[in-house]
Amino acid sequence: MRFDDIRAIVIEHGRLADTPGTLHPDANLYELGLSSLTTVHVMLALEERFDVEFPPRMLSRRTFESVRAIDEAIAELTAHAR
Amino acid sequence: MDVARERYYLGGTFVVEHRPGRGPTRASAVVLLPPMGYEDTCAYRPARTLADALAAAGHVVLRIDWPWLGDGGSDAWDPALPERAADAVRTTVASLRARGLRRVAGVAVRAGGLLALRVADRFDALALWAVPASGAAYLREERAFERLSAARRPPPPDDAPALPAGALEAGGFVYGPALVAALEQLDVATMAPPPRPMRVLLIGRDGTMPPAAMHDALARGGAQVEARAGRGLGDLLEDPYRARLDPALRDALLDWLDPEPGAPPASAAGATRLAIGAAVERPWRARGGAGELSGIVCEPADGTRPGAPWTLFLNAGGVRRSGPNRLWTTAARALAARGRPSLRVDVRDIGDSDGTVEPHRDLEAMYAESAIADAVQAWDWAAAGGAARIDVVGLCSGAFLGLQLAARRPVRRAVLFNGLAYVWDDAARADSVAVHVRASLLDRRRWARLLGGRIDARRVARALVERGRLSALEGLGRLAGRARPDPVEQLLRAVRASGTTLRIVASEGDPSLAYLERHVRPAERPQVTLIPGADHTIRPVRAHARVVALVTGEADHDVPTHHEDPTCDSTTSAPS
Repeated sequence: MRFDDIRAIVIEHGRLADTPGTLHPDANLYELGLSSLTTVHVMLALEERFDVEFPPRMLSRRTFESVRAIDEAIAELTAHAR
Repeated sequence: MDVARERYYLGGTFVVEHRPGRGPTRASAVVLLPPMGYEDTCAYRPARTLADALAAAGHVVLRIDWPWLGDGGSDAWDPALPERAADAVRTTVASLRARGLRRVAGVAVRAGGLLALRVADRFDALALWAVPASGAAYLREERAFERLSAARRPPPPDDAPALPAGALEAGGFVYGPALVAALEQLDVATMAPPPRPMRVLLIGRDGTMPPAAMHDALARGGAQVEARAGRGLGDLLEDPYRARLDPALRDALLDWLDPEPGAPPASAAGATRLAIGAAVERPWRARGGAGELSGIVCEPADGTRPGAPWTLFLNAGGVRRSGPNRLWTTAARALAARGRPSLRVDVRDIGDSDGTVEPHRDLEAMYAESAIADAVQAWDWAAAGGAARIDVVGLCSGAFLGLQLAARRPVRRAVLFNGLAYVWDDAARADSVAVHVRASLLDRRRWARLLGGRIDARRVARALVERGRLSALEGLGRLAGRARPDPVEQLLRAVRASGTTLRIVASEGDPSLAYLERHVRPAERPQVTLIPGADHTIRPVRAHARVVALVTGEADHDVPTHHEDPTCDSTTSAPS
């Protein structure tokens, strides 16, 4: 479920040319066209959707390089929030 | 579209006015308040499109540059910047009321909306598009943007100077300590509400509603707040040559604005010149092939030094005349301080020059003969005004325009940054496609553009075939001991033979280095000046002083140079 939400956010805000059905969880989003600016847009949408805040230490390309990486980051953030 | 445009200054503020041509005028005028930093660079052309649409519907529209951006009268280090920004808005609104326009609406984008809210009492209505709930939230976004961008750049040199305490850099733009401090204090939830009821349209980021705290704070003050989920922000903030205005957003604003008819306003009373320290600037216009060409002339306040050359600054990709990271404005004013005049020009389709309002479909328009013709026209204007010696400065596609101009008109000195193509033919198309392809064979976004019709697939295919044919011919020629002269090498040789001093500059590792090595034999290759630790568009900011010194000629002998760098990476960037 969270994967689907992340995937939808990445596609809407990351300005990728891909479609939900073909965006593999491990696909490198930067190779698919994610830029530094659109990463910030994705980050903000994720924060709103999952009610989290990415701390400065997580503001790296590695955090946002794939749907799976984002999912792991959000899992970590929500675990800390509990 | 029946719209008249005029450019002038109100105090230290650069203003572009769009007003209805022969049609009826509305009582409600509009001030467009742009975003900041790199977002302003992207949104400039779409803002012009929006202003035209509102003017065609009868509204007088004023677009402003923030004082430290574009053609504004200050810079990021000005300690009075927050107050200057507020004054810019106050003065602009007051100028409309003084002309008999009874109501003034503000349309503000992103962080421009935070500054608009500081002076909300001046407006009768405010539309706030994707405005963050606080300055701190906005600065956090910018810090994140910079952190993610910096990871892609070469490492800084060991002696790289740090930014002064309290300043922030993002995407090649500086937020000086005074502006950072002022933004950090801005929080919509705690700001004093507008002193009188007003209409507010809040538009969220794409697919999201605006912050509830912002809605509640404005409603508490008595504003009639209408909130909508956003769309079109991603289109607006695409890179400058692909940015576009979402028609639905335009229509939403047209619907929201007060339609009451009004009397035609009095003429604008703006100044035609702006004094900035040792420089005086004024708008420039000329008739071009696609309509009006636009630019800014920057001259020494104390008069041009006898014999001093003029400098023409050319667009870098789709970036307007102020240049990448506002470098051309900065360099133009530095030249003026040394007694040297300049013109920073928009060729067609870019900045405030006429041409298409659609985003560039591909690279063709920026490397077109028509764009060269516009650059030639700027040269002819300067020469007709008595300029005996003319320099040109360009980056990326601007470097192409600069060299092509030097092949057509006498140029004293050409300072060319990160040129990825100096001759635009099928081979160059093939090369640029090859760069795109090498950038990532799996870059499906680029391929989707290609296959989706945003790039002419047939032309690309022809170019790739041509590249292969040329490579084969070159190989055969070398084997036979009669290598075919490369057109790039021929052009460089011809320009040098005509008396032009070439100053080729490359960011460390930029693909422009590989381009020269591919096209120009070592014995013919011009010396290349390297800018260490900078990317293709000369970010970070610490590299900017070196750029200015190269433009003025003061750094000609003190920078590292490149002779042969087989390790340079040609896969990180494509022409723009």
